[in-house]
Amino acid sequence: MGSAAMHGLRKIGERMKATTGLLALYLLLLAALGVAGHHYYSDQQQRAETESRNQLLAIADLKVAQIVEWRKERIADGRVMQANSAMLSAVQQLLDGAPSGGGRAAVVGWLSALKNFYGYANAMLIDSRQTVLLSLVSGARLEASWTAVVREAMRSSQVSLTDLHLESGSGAIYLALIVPVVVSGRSTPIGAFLLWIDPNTFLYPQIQSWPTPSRTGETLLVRREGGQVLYLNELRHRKGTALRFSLPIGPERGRLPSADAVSGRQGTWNGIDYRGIQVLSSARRVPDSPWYLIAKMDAAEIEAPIQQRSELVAIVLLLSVLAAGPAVGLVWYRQRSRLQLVRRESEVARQALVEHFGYLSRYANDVILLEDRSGRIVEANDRAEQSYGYDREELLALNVRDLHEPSSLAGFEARWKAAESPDGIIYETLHRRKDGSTFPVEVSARVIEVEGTGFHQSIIRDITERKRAREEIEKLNRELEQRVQRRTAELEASNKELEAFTYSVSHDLRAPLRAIHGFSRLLEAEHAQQLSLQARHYLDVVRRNALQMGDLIDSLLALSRLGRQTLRTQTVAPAELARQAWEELGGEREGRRVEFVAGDLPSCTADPALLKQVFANLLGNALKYSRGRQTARVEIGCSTIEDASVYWIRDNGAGFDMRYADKLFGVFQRLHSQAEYEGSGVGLAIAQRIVQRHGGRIWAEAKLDEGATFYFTIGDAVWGGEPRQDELTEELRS
Amino acid sequence: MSMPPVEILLVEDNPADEELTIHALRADHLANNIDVVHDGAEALNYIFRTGAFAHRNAGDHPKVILLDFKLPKVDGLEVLRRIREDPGTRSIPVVVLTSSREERDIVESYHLGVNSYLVKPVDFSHFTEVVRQLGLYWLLLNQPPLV
Repeated sequence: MGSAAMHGLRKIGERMKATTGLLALYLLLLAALGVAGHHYYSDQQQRAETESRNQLLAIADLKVAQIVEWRKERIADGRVMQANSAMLSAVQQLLDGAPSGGGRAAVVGWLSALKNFYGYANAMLIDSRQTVLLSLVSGARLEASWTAVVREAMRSSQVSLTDLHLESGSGAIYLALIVPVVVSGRSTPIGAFLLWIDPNTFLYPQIQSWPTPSRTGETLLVRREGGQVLYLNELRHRKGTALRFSLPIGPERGRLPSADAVSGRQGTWNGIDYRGIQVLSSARRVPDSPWYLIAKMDAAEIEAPIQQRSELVAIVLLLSVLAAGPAVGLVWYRQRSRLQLVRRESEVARQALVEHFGYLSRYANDVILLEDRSGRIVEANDRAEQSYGYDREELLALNVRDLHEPSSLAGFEARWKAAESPDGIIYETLHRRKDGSTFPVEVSARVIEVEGTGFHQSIIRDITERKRAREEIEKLNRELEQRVQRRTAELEASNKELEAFTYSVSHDLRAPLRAIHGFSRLLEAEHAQQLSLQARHYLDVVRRNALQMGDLIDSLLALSRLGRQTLRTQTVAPAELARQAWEELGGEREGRRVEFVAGDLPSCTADPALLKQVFANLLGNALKYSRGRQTARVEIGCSTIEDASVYWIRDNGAGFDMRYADKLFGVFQRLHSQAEYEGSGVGLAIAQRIVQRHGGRIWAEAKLDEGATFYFTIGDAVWGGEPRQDELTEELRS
Repeated sequence: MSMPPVEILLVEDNPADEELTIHALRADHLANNIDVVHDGAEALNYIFRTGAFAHRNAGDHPKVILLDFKLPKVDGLEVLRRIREDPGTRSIPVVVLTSSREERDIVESYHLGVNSYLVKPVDFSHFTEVVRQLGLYWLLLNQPPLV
């Protein structure tokens, strides 16, 4: 059947489901790792940036503090010079124009010592008009850019520092410490020393030195120069920049940190430096100067450790992911193994079932069809091909309706619907073979679920034979019934006839006898004188025979009545009935010596009047045939023979030849002559009829001249009734 | 002239039985006022004063009806039923005197209200005795209701 393909589909579906689950688990794991990694990364980045900001700001502050300190030291140096009175007087002499030149020499010597001792690049002395009076480096002039500062210093008598200045000729950079020469008695300084400072000797290295190892860390000093920012020191990443390199202050902030700084921004921020590279920079204004100090570092360097750490984390993550893969895989594998084991077991069971089902279907004596909801046949067993004469392909192209004999399609839809009930439906209908011949079928239809789809399953049995057999049986039954009816009618008719006959006998046969008897009596009584002795004897014979015939008729009627009379059964005590019968036979015993022995008789269910009749007849017989004994002996008792209670009556009389035993119970059958023992020959027949009507049996055993024993059973006779031990011995004298 | 009242109606189709019955009754002079009919239809005519008996005096009922069972035309049971159905004849004593010992007949007769059911013995001496006793009882001993 097509279930194998469906089974395959389901297997794939199951596997997909399991794999999808594991994949989802894996992806979930990845996502978790990703989120954790991202968190870690941004946290580290945040932390690194904060650290770098703090570091940069600290460096900026440190540098500013160093510069401020350096400048203070310089100023202090200048003040020390101002306070050197010897020196002052020498300068005064020189300025006063002492031709001797004694003052000059002293000043030069002192300045030279100062220059060497402090490492100044040059030392000059100018007068109040800013004329250079003396310069240790010959040819040196007062730089134009310094004049304003010098004038101010002269006015205020305060030691000052000039700004950095680029000497246009040599390209050297200097700044100068201006020390106004103030002497007592003069309100304004008489001149000033200008001590040239080469920033390369101390300031620039001081600025450039970076307290921690850094690839890109850089400190710069800048100042504003019109619309430009001027770089005052030598840059780390570009040479020849000091006082030569400037960039425009653009309108947008946040781009060039130095431009922002000279525009008054302080603190730390991200920007793009002169090289156009992302940097983090801190800016501080240097007090008492037009300088701004910027400490900056490439963002790349700040992020480098994070990058490294990130890489490490990424590697760890990757390893985790890689490890998770096998772990998940392992779980998946183990699960699959278990699943496969279970599936293999169920597969084996299923395979067995499928094979078993296949066998059943193939060798089934019934047609098995599977139909879809529309009735189209989707599966059929071998038997279907045999039964309908279509081959498999033809069958699978048919609708189940096509298998019906057209007239049997009425009610099909209702039955189709009924098949969907839980119990299905069983019905008989007429199907048609490919060759057009039809046959009666019994269909057991129900809906079965296969992989979630409902199919109609029809088990179809060819009931041609059964139907024929059933019809045969019905026909036989009908015939039998008719026969029984006919026989019953016949029996009824014959019963009626018999009844009419017995009625007739009873009424019509007795009347003539009565007339014979009566008129012969009247003849004898009223005409005795005319009758001889012989004639009277003849009349006597006529009368006796009339009476005997009357007795015969009565016996015959009694026997006939027995067959029709209904039994009035009850539990009876046979011993009591036997005793009554014995009493009533008193006439028979008159003048005889008779011994009567009555044993135990179990009670039974019987018609008491009829059972008494049996005892009466049998006891009567016993008495009659023992007439010839000097002492007659009649015994009555009961024995158990083959689990049945058997009543018996025994006498010591004439007995009979067992050869004639079969005639014993026949009507009018007699084993003795009327002259020996009178009788109608009906008594035993009556006894047998009564016993038989009670479901019992009667028989006799005897030996000629040695007495006879009559046995009979009465259906259900049981011991335990009222036991009765009667022993009646009657001795009657004649 | 006034007829003496009828004492016995004998319904008997068998002439021998009729003769023997009357013979038995005569012995005790009980057969002086006896009417005999020979079938059921005649019996009904007699009792209900119809047909040949239309002239009979109303209320002139026999003291006892001796009824055979097996009768031509209308059987004894039917005669008995008609007698018992009619209020005017219902109280007439009816004795069935028949040859039939059929239990069915006996039961049916008593059901219909027969006063006695006697089987005719074959033995003439017994028969004579039965009829005698019957006549004595119903004609002399029994006290019928006043009409």
